[in-house]
Amino acid sequence: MATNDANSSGAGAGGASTNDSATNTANAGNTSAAAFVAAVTTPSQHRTDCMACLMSGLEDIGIKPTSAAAVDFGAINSDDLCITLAHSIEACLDGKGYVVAPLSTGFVQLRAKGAVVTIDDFVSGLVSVSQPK
Amino acid sequence: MRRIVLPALFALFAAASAFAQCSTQLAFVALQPTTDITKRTWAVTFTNCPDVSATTFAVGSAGTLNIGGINYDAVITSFSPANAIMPNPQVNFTLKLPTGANDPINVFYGSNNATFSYPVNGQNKEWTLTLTEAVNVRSDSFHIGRADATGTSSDANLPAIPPAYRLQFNSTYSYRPPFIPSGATTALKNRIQRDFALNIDTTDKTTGYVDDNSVTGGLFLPRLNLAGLVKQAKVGAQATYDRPIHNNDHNADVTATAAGLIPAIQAVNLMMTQKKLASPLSLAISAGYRSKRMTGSTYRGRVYSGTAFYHLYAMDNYRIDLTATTTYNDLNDLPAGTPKTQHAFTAAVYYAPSPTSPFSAVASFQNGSFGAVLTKLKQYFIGVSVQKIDQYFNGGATQ
Repeated sequence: MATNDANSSGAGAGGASTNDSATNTANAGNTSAAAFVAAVTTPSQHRTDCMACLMSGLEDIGIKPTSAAAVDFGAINSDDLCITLAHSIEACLDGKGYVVAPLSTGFVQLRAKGAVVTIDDFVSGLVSVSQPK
Repeated sequence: MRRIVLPALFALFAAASAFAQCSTQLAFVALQPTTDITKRTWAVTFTNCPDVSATTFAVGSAGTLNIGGINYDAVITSFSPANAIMPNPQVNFTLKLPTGANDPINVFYGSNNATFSYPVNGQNKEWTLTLTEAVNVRSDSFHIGRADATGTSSDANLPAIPPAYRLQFNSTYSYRPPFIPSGATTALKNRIQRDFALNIDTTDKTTGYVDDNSVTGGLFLPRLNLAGLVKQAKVGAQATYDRPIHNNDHNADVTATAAGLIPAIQAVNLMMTQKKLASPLSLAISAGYRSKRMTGSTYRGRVYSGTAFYHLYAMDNYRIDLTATTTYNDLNDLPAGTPKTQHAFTAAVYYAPSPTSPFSAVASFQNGSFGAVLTKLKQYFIGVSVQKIDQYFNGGATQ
C-alpha cells in the first residue's frame, strides 16, 4: 500500500512548527538586511511540510513530482486517483501535526474541469486550508 | 438551418440551468491510525450555491449531520473559500462523539444518503448531500411499457410487426474499498472491490425487438503498490454472461484482469516552458476464456487483451492522449476472414489557450477495431468543447 511517510523533509509526526515568515521576521531582530531578506523569502515550515506532503501524495499515484511544474488534473486518470491523492496528502499533514480541511471533493471537481494547477499555487492552497494543531 | 439551431440553443440553455443548480457534497479527511477519530474534519462543499458565504457559518456554532439516519452534532471549525485547489467553498466541522462511539466513517461507508442542517437567519436550513467517496454504490431502474417497431426491410409487402410489451431492468451494486492510510490495518474482505450488474432489456415477442440481457460479477483487489514498479495496481477476476431470452445464442466470458500505473514511464513534455504532471503510462491486461454461441455456431477458446494509455505534452498548449488496445482471440471455428489478432489505436489532441488553462478537445483519430463487436473503422474528429458553460449564465458567481 501507499506509504505516506516517504516525505523528504519537514517535521516528523507532531512536529508542526509555527515559525512562518512573520515569526522569522520578528526573530530577525537586529540582524543584517541580508539576513532579514533571507528570513522573509525562506519558505516557512508550514509551507515546506505542505510541499513535502504534496510530493509524497503525487508519488503515491505514480507521478514523479518536480517543484517547477503544474499538475494537470484533467490527465489524472480517474476520480479514484484524485481521492487517493487527497487522502494521502491529508494523512501526511495529519502525521506532521496539522489540521487540514477535506480535499477530495475539490480534487474531483478540478478533474471534472480539467484544471491545471501549478505546484506553487497547489502548495499555497494547502497552506491556506491547513493549520498547526 | 433554424431547425438545427433552435434545438441546439434550447439544449444549451437546459444544460446551463442544470449545471448552475446548487449541489452539496460530503467529504472527510484521512487520519493517521494514531489520531483520535474526534479530530477528524468533515466538510460540506457548496457547488453553485451563491447564497452561501463565510458569514453563513459561525465558527464554534453547531449544525447537524445526518448520515444513514443517525444525527451527529457538527461543530463548525472553519470556512474555506474557493481557491486554487478547491473550486467551490466548503464549511469544515468536527463531530461530537460520546466516549466509545463507533467511528462515523463506518456509518458513512454503510450509507448512501446524508443531510446537513444549520440555522440560517433563524430558520433551520437543510441540504441533501452526495457522498464524494461512496463505498456502497447501488442503483436500480425498472421500466415497462409498449414498444412499436418498424422493420428494417424495404419490402412493403411484408406484414407489419405487431406491438410488444418491453421490460427494462437494470441493477448495479459496487463496493469500493475505502482509502487505508499507511500503517492502518483492515480485514481483507474490506479491501476487495465487488461489482455486480444485471441488465434485462426484452419484450414478449420473439423477433423484431431488442432482446439484450446480461449479468456481470467481479472481484478486485485495488490500490496495490508493487515495489515502486507499479502504482495503484488492481487485480481481480470478472465473469460476464449475455444472452437473449428468446433464443439460445449466448456469450460467456471468464476473465482475469490486472491494471496499474508504471511510474518509470512518466508523461513526456516536449518544448514546454513549464512541465506538466499527469498520470504515467497506464497498462491493463486481461486473460480469459470465452464460450460464444451465435446463429447456430459455437466458438470456444482463450481471449487475451491489453490496453496502454499515455499522456504527452507539446509546445505549451497541446496535450495528446494515446490509447492502444490489442485483442487476441484464440476461438475455435471462427468465421473465415476473422483475424485472431485485432488492434485499435486512438489519439486525442487537446488544446489550452494558456499554460494554466484547462485543455479542450480539438481533434481525435481512431484506427482499428472498436466496440463489443470489434467493428473495424478509421475515424477522424475535429471539434470544440465549451469549458465552464455555467459562468455565462450565472455571472460566474461561484468562480
